[in-house]
Amino acid sequence: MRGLLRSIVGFSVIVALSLSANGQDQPSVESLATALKSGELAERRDAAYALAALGKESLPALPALIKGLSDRDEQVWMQSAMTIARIGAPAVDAVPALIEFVDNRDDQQRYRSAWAIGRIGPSAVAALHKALKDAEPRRRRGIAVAMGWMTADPSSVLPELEQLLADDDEDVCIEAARSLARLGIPAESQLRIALASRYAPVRAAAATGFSDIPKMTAESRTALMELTNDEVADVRGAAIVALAASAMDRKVLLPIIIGAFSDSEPAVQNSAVVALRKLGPDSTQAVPMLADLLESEDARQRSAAAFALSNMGQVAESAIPKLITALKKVDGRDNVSRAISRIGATAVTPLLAASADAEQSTEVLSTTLAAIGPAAADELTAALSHETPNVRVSAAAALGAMKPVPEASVKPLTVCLQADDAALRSAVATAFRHCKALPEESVKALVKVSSDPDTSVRAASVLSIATSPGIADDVAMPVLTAALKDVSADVRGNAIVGLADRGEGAKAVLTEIIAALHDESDFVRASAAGTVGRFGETAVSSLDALLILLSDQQSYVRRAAATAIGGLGVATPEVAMKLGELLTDSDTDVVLAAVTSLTEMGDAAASSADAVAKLLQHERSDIRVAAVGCYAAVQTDRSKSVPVFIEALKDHDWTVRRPAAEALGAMGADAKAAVPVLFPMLSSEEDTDFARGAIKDIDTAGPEALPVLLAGLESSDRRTQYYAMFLIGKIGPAAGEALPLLRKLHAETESDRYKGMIQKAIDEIEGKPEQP
Amino acid sequence: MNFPLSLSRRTALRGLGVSLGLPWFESLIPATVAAGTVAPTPPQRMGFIFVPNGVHLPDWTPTTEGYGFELPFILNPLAPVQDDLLVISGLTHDKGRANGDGPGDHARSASVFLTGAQPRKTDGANIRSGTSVDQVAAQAAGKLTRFASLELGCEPGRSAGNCDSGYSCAYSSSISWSSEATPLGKETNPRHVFERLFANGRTQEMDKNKLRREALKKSILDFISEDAQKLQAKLGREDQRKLDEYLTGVREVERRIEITEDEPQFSADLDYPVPEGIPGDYGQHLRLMCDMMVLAFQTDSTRISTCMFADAGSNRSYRQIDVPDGHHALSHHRGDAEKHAKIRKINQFHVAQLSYLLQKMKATPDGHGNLLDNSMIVYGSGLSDGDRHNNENLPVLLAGRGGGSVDTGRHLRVPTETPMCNLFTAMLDRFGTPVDFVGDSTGQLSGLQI
Repeated sequence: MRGLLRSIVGFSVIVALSLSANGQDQPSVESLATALKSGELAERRDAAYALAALGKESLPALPALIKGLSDRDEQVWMQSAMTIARIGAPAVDAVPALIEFVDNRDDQQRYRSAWAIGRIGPSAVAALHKALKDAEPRRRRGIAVAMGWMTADPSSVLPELEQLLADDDEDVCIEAARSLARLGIPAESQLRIALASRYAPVRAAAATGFSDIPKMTAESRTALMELTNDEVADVRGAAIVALAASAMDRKVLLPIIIGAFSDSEPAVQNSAVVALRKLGPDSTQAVPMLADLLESEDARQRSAAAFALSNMGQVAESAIPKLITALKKVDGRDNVSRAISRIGATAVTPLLAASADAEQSTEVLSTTLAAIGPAAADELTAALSHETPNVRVSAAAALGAMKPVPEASVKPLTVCLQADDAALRSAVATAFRHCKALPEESVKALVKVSSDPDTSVRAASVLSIATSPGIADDVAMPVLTAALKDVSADVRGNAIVGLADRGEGAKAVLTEIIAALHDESDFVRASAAGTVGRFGETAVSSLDALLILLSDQQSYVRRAAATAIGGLGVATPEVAMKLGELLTDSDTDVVLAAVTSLTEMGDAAASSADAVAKLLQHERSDIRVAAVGCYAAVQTDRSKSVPVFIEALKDHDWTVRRPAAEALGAMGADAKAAVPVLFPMLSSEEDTDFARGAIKDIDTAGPEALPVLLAGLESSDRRTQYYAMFLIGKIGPAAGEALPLLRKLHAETESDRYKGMIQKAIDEIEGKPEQP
Repeated sequence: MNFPLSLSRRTALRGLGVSLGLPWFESLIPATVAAGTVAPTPPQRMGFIFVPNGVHLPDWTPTTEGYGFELPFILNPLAPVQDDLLVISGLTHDKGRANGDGPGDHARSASVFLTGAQPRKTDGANIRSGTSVDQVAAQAAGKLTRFASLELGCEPGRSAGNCDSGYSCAYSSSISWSSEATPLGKETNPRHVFERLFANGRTQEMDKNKLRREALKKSILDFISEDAQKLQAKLGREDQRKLDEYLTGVREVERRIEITEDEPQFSADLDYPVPEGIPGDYGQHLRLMCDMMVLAFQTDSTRISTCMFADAGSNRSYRQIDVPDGHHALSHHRGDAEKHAKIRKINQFHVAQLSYLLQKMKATPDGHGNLLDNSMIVYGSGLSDGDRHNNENLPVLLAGRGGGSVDTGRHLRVPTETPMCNLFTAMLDRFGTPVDFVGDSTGQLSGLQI
């Protein structure tokens, strides 16, 4: 009867709220306050949402809203907290209830309660002050955070925050400093105190706060100057940015910022970029200084200057000549290239002119030109008919490097295929690999130069014909077949590489490709091995030749052969043994190829299992990852593989730990010895997903896991607790030691679901039959 | 509220049943304005793009903060516009979490994306979410343009019925809400958007004129050529070139729509015929919708647009990038490396379409800069990781410089649990429509400017 009555009342409230939504009737705040205390969740929620929509007008419902803060439903709690925040100062009576959540385990409840207290403002300070007495560090932290939200009238919390800066707990000090930073100008003297903190994060937070205090005192500026030499990078960086935000003399400031670009820490270099940006138009004064640094003997300084200029865009225009000169040096070249390309179209002419400099690399110049993007296309196309040969070549290469070649440039490039200059013909033939679609006349011209007297032109055209989209087999295959017999190894090799992309069409010349495995050129042998591998089982007749290539003098040939063998689908102990010999090859890329191919052989490669296990100590993590997969494939004896994978779970790299966990999970209950190692991984952000998957798949645990599981029961993370409970139950009677703690948790919890799970674990330990 | 000068209402090319809005021409600035009495700044635009099922976060999040970050795999297609991006890590949509309502993460992820409001769990008519940020802006500034806002998408979705564990389909298929109970339907047909942008008159007249154009095989431009010639005479040389480029661009889009209409309409991704005018190729469809957004912004037909690249929980396959599996199914990867590889390809495919939009905006002159300079485009998902279904540390980026109010080219990390709606309040402030709060905001996100 009571249930029916409750339903009727609930229905009437919902109807009332629905009517209000239609504008026909507005429920009073009083009725909403009543509904907020209803036993029906739907009613409480609707009332909470309605009150939140009313905002400040909900003040008469404050007692109910405060009660809403003890509601177990997250939505009622949230809407109550948000409404209280929107009421602001008059909601001061809610402060004690809100304080109860500033150290809550739930991230949002912690965040929202602090924010709501901040919105209530100075009238909350007395309650905060009271709550600070005898509070645990976690609560003191929460209160410090709440004070940082009092931006509207911060003066009342400044003394309290100053005291918290001297708290025994470092985290409390940090939160106090962060809050002071949020409060900005009024907190300057407290922030200055924080600049001298023994804790680096406090100093960093305080320095960050000064970024919003442009008119700081000379005393603050001096303190910040000192921090530009702080031992901690974050502090140095924050101090530099704060000084840049101040009215400090640019002549003094610029050398500090420029110096920061040479800092060993990327974070400080990044702060220097921010500092330059903060200077606005004054940042142009830094360009000549940075340009001079490009000529430094110190590679790190050159790189730092290039990094700085690369983040300045067009402002760095006056540095173009020195930047182009700096392109000749390998160190920091990427940043130099980036800086030039970000200056934009004005850099095109000087870059093209630099092509005449024999010390400049055409490839570097062309990629820099290409990175300028569409803005450079017209000038580059025009440069195809420039009087200087090198300029024409750089322009053609740059258009190719734009990937795709601008459509308007394809025709002028086609004309260049008939030029006398072989370097230009070669650059154009290369560029044509990167066209969206080649028109017929361009294809014809490309086919024509496939018999060019110049080797590099033939090699480039063959590769373009093989790989360009839209060139049909009837056009491409005759050219490629002929190229297989070319006198030049480059041409033969490119033809074979290109054939790998032709799919079915290339099968017609498979015999010739296999024959190329014996070619005198290592480039051709490696290309042939790579292409043969793409044909899979169809190319099984290449096996003997490939096995010979496993002993080739050139490591890249051995690598290509090892990879190819893995693709043939041949799994015999003999072949596996040959591959296994490469696991100790001096070239680590060969080792990786061998271990990857052995994985394909499964238990045929069992004899290599020990050698594979040793690779779990290899310095390259990708080899360790491959070794885990390989070991799982070749080692069928689980008594041997479980300890190996458990060891791999301790690898410092998560990419190795993951396949190890997955391999253990795949063994199910046989891998239960791994649970003591897997379980703590649940609390690692990197590992939690795959550790959870493995534990679920293993689905049991032994008594040896009990210590970590008992610790898990006391975890603050609810999910870890669930898993601990679940696994303890799986241990059964041997987990009797857990009973007192489980019973305690059972008595304490209010959650029916949680209670049920604990009871299930208790029943399993006590050997009671499962409840239906 | 101080809105920038609006020129478009007075400067459209008109012909029979056609009204072609015009871009911002300096030559048309009235003499009083040119003399400096009013600052002739182009208007600000806001766009919001939603992608479903979260992303593979390790391939989305840059490893370093601040300037000079390396683009991770998924964001790699954005290299040409990296300097115009602000990647933001750490934002949270708490109201996308279950909060006592159990399953239904996908529906919540879309409905919360721009509203920041917890949707009521219902598949009936009593839906409730909140007013979305685009509509907050549209209700304040929409009267300045022909359309208050433009809602686009690529999947028709349903507005009723149960689409996700007891949540109405309205939640899954709408990110724009004009009130807490009113989701706005989205336009998925590029032809319809094109006609809406450029045709003139009442609906029946518009239909008749369209049929007439089709029968005569004429372009929309043929009807405004006379007016265009008159305008050319009034423009300076630079603006003449701009007009020419603009008309060519409009024709190009129209031509692509026509090609689409002529092709057999069968989507390889969805395995069912698609309505006339909607390209069978999903990438082409996305790019056409992006073109529409650019045209709408360029002509100041609207300053606010949303686009759902796909509906929440979409299980469309991506055969065009060799991913025949369903997106949603793949998103539940459980750490499977093969699925990771596929999901990040899908994520990158979406980002490549965004890159197309942003590059096009960047190549579109607007005032003394380009359209992207004067825009704020939010791209992201209401879920972080599609497998974990979590709503913190969302994949979000803000593209465009907001008329100089956003310092781009950076990766910004904000404290965890910072509401996504704080980004929206900061954007609304820059847009000229400040509000106290949107959804569950607790203030304005700081850090958009250094």
